[in-house]
Amino acid sequence: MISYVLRRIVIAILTTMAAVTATFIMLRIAPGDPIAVLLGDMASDAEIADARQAYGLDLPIWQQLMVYLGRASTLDFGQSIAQGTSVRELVLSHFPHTLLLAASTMLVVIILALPIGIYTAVRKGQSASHATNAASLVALSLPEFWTGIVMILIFSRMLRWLPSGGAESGWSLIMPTITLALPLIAVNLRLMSTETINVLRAPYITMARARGLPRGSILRRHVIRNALIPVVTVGGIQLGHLLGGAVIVETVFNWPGVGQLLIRSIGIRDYPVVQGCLILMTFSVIVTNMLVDFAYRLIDPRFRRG
Amino acid sequence: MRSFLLAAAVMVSVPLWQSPVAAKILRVAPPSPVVDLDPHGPNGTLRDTLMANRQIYDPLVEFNNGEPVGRLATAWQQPDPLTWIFTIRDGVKFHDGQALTSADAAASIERLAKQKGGLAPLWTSLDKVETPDPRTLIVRLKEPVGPFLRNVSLLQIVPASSAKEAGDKYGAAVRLPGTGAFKVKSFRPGQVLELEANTSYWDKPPSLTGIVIQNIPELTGRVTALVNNEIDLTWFLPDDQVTALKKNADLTVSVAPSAIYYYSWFNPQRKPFNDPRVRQALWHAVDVKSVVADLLPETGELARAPITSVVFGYSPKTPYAYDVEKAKKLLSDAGLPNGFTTELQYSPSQGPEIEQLALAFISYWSKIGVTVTPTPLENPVWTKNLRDLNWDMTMSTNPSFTEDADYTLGRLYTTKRSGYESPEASKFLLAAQREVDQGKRKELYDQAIDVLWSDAPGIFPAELKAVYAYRKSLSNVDLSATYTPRFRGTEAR
Repeated sequence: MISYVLRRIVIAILTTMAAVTATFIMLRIAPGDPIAVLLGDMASDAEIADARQAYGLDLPIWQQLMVYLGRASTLDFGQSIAQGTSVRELVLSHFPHTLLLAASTMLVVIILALPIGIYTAVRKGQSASHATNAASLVALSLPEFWTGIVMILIFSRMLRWLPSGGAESGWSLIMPTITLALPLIAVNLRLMSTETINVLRAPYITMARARGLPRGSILRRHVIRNALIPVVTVGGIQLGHLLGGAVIVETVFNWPGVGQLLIRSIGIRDYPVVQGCLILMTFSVIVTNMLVDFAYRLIDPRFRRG
Repeated sequence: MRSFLLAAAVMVSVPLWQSPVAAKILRVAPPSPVVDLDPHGPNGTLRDTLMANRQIYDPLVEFNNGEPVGRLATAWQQPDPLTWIFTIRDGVKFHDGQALTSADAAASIERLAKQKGGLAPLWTSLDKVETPDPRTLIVRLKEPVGPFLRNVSLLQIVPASSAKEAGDKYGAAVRLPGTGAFKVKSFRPGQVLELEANTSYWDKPPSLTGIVIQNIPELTGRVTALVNNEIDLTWFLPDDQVTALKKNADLTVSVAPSAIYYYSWFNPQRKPFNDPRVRQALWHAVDVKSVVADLLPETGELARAPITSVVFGYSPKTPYAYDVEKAKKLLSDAGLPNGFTTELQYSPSQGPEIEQLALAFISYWSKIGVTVTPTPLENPVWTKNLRDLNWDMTMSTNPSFTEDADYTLGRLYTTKRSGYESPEASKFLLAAQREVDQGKRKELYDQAIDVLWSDAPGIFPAELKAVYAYRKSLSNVDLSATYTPRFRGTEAR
């Protein structure tokens, strides 16, 4: 087990470095110039050249990358070009909001998607199950920016129940959570339902029934545990994405998380901050993937041997 | 139901919704976030940074209806074109308790002048500053600066000791006390700036007890927050919002002249735009008056100069007539009877209805055989292309930040920044830059605008209006022409 964990950690570090390198190069060959945006149209060409040198942007890309990787290994991710503050502090100050939103979304998804998914599987072919399937198809098709704006119009502008944005109170959490959760509920519900149906058809369930085990016990001990494995995989990937910041939802609801920081920094080509956000995103995906792997071992003893 | 229970459970971990209206706190959401508070830093020309700084700091001189008014200076004189002498106000204290002296003003000028970007280019003619006594500041220039007092009005004064402490650091890493009507209570860059009234303000103390400046990046979000009484004031709103908000009984919508204008430049470094007849033809080909009336009925007005009516040096000219035949003749005189193919670059974030404006121009141009590809670009790409003169035609809006023609005309049409250079226009513009007699400067700008208007480095379709929307409980809102209002006189019921 320990060697397994160590191996995973080494792979995680290598993956992060590969992702950093790829995004570093892509960012710098993308058109646009942070210095032109920063200094504005009044600055002379000489001032632009000076600033480029001060930020090390005059060096060849591979040299910039070496400098960056060297510093990043000591957890120094540089300074924001636009704000002059440490990237690490900037990203970490936005992360708690992203974490809160990701946690509340996943919580809503788990509480709703799993029971409804099992319910529709058990009631397969009945009208309740058809209705749920239709509803989840609609929820799945809703683009986040649309759901978000429509919710603002209904719940803040017309009904005035909820604040239109910001993160000043717990009420502000409700709409972004629902917006993010809706399509995820739909995906997980359908997955849970399909998997449950598959497991219900398996010979060992027929066997369990034949042994006369009570229905509830079959569901709890045999069906759900087996059906849960793919759902945990997908849920893990979803959580990883959420932890990297929900770019659209954070912008629509003015939620001060990493996604909002990222989109603002891309808009002004603040390379170090964009890089910092991307590292956090990569890291979140890798860590959640590792946790998912460990979770398999809890759910299904067969993985412990492999 | 379950989701509501859950939401309620999550809410326990965060503070409850603050009561919406506290005692005379002004809640503002500007169009873009306040990223730092360094008045001398590289972000000094960002409108919202200047807006925030105008609450925290005072300049030596301020302009009121085009006239200079003393703030931290009580008097000033210009014994010769290269020397300015200011008398510094007595009895002013910074937020940290230090008393204001001429050394602070001198340190502030020096700190700004040695910075790159931001407002520093306004101080390239600075020779040195002297402080013979604590109440006297002498500024010596290498060459005369016509809009000198305008430039001084954008210089915020900080304590010499803090300027020294900041050293070479600029931007968000620096916090400098001011003398302004409000002081900083808390600041999360890019998110929220909380200010509280400076009770020992040297001037009439502000009526507001505080200001909260928050970032709401989406226009819909800002408007909803205003309608829902989550904020009291916002600005820079497009036409469709103006119409809707005017119907709201809780809100006041004020439309005032602004220093911001639209331009659609031709690149005279590239063929066929090196020929003034081609540029004039493209202007005559567009019914600019109707386009502006259709697209910007509330927020725009047909332009009569390459600067707006509130800017010093404004001199209105006759708008170009919509005349397709004349346009065709000018084109064929220029050797292009069958038109040509080109592109128009713009960034969707650079102006209200900019895409529609670009497309309207393009459809008019197609009628004289000129085929134009619209090229929308992301802001950093557009800005880089603009600087590199990497465009045939480019469209955007631009503020005359100092509200003086020099900032716009003197900068853009003497240095090839716009790709355009004319010896005649440069002669007038450079003379106006160095002329210290404001009456003579006005005449020089009149002549320069004559040249620019007929030579057409670009089409100048519209001057924009400054649109402020606020709750009826507010009064005395400063309708700043550059969207950088001061709130020291604003009152809330």
